[in-house]
Amino acid sequence: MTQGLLESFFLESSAGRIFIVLHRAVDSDRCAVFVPPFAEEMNKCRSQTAATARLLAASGCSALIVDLYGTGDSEGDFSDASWPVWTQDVALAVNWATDNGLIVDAMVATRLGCSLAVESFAEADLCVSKTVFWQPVESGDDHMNQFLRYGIAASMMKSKSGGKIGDLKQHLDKGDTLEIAGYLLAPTLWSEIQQVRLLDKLGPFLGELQILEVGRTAGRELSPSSTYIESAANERGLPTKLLRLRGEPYWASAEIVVNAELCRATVQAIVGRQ
Amino acid sequence: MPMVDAIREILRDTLQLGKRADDLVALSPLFGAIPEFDSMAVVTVLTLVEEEFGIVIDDDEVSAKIFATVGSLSDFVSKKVSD
Repeated sequence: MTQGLLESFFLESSAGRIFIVLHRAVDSDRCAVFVPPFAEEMNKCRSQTAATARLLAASGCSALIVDLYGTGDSEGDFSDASWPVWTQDVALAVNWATDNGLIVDAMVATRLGCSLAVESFAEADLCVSKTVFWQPVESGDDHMNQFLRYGIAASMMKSKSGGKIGDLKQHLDKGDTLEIAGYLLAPTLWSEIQQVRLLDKLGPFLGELQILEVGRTAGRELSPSSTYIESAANERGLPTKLLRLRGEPYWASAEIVVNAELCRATVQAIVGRQ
Repeated sequence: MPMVDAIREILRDTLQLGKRADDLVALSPLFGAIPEFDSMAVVTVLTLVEEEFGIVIDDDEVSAKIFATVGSLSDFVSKKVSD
């Protein structure tokens, strides 16, 4: 294995400059784009993403990691971000790679990032031969409810009359921006994500789809959510496989976790070897 | 896997209790007893439980009572799964 070369730079997006990390494979023009999850999950997944990108580059496929506008090291505030800006960010990164001699023929997307990646590719008329979903989120609405729960966490445990998610939604409906778990959630972004459904836009442009799920026991049956996505994709004639790996919830656990098996399984799905 | 065992594994992974989770039984106290189990961790556990078991938990249903012990949490999840 030859280590890939690490490059980082900014691209000019419609809203501001976005930060890109490229783990460039030696002697190969293949490239996979990584699309991050939402808010704090992105931070939790950074190490897992970087470790997988390094292994992928060393295995002969470059890895392009996008920091969406208003997140990570990109310009802008989280409260100024919007779903359409983010979908354009992903397409911008892919088009940059293509313009610079790389062939983007794989994507790795995490959680809500799966919907973002799919919408972005559909809208920009892009395609890949391999897609890997990490712990995909099907419903943006459910994901927002789970996120809003962090805004009522403290009061939820104190009394029945404490804060309710419904109260937060009323504020968002009125056009207020709310601070949830340290993130300023703008009503526009909230409303856009609520409409997101992963299954709506799945298509042949994803190529072979592999869902990699990490759970507390490898032997346990697969989660209902991933199983649902797998069967819905297969019903649409999209070749889809679902694999459950043993491990901690790297996207959610208190301390940062890197699951080496997930790195290897992802590389295996994309290049067919480790 | 019995629900108590499943909940123990979710708590082990989410709170990164390691071997300390081995001692968790149905009567083990949770909220207020395990330092790592703060209100933010409660939210993370709720999300994981929803996704693992394909259930939706309304915020009206959540109270300190459910998170009193491993047993009270697993009873709550068992009931939601069977509903």
